[in-house]
Amino acid sequence: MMHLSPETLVDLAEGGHDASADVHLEACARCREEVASLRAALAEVVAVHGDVPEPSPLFWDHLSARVRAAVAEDPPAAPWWRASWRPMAAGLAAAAVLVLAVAVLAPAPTGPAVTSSVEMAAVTLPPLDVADDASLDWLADLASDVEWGDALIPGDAAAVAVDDLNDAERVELHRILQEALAQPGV
Amino acid sequence: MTQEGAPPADEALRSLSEPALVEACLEGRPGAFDLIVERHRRAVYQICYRFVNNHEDASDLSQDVFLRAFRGLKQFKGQSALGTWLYRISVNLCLNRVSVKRPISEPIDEQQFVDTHSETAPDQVLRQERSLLVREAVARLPKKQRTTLVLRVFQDLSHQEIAGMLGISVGAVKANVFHALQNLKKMIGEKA
Repeated sequence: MMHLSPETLVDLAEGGHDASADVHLEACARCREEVASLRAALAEVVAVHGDVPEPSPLFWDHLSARVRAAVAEDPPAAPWWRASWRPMAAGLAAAAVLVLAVAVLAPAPTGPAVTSSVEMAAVTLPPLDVADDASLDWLADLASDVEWGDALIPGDAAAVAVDDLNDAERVELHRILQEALAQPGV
Repeated sequence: MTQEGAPPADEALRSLSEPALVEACLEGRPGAFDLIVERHRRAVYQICYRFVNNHEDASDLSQDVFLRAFRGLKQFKGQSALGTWLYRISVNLCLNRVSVKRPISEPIDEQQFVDTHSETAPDQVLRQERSLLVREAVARLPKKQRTTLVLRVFQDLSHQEIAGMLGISVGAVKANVFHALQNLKKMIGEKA
């Protein structure tokens, strides 16, 4: 004989009614005993329902005072933009350094007509006068409280490598990049 | 009753609806959050007590609940009553707490039970002993069973409400209640 499911037994123990379950209970002593047993256990638990010991009357004001003190000591949350823009600023700063390195060091265009947008940006733009570029002020503000070490994305070998180059090496890197960009099909 | 260290909440605050009181808190109006604490501290304490079964932990948890509520007040959208929202915070904190620390039951002679004048002294002692036995048994239940039983029996939530709160199905709620009661029967039967 199939017996009632735990879910149905709980419903019955809690006072619910189920016509098909009632029919089964009439024929099944085991399920009747199970329901009775669950009801008894439930009654035991319900009987202690009100038994949260009442604390001292002084407790409530003391609790309010503790909460007040905890709230007063709680540091204010950082603005949402600081939490999300910090890593973004670090990434932007690193990317900006690379872009600036290419743009500022780029000589006047002498090669054949370029076809890629990267080549156009590197060759046709006049050398940047950083003092006049407002967007760089904005970027500088963002990056002002970012430690350079934080700006480097862990594992970003290219950024680390560029950082380690001396001036002569950077010029040579620029020359190599220019030659590569000048290749047909790049 | 004047709260220690704080001026009494002015009448204007006391007459505010709950959403308006929350708004007053967010505006930084003095006394607004104190009033929220005053109104809900008993309910919060009781739900915490039911999970941890001792005054000290219930007191600490209650403080944490209100601190968490203060921090998250901006996220309270008013879709439920403030009490319900505080209730959810209480349950979540209690669930995290009881997963780390097994509840401690206070000895019977340190508890302040409500005096029931109709009972004889021996009956009262027996009732108190039985009550402690049941509460200790509830405290020893596995976390999911204890949580479901507390919410169902002590907080009178429906199966659907419990399912929504715990992120489980109604069937799972009922199964937890079933197994909790089975385990209680076994534990109480062993100790009695």
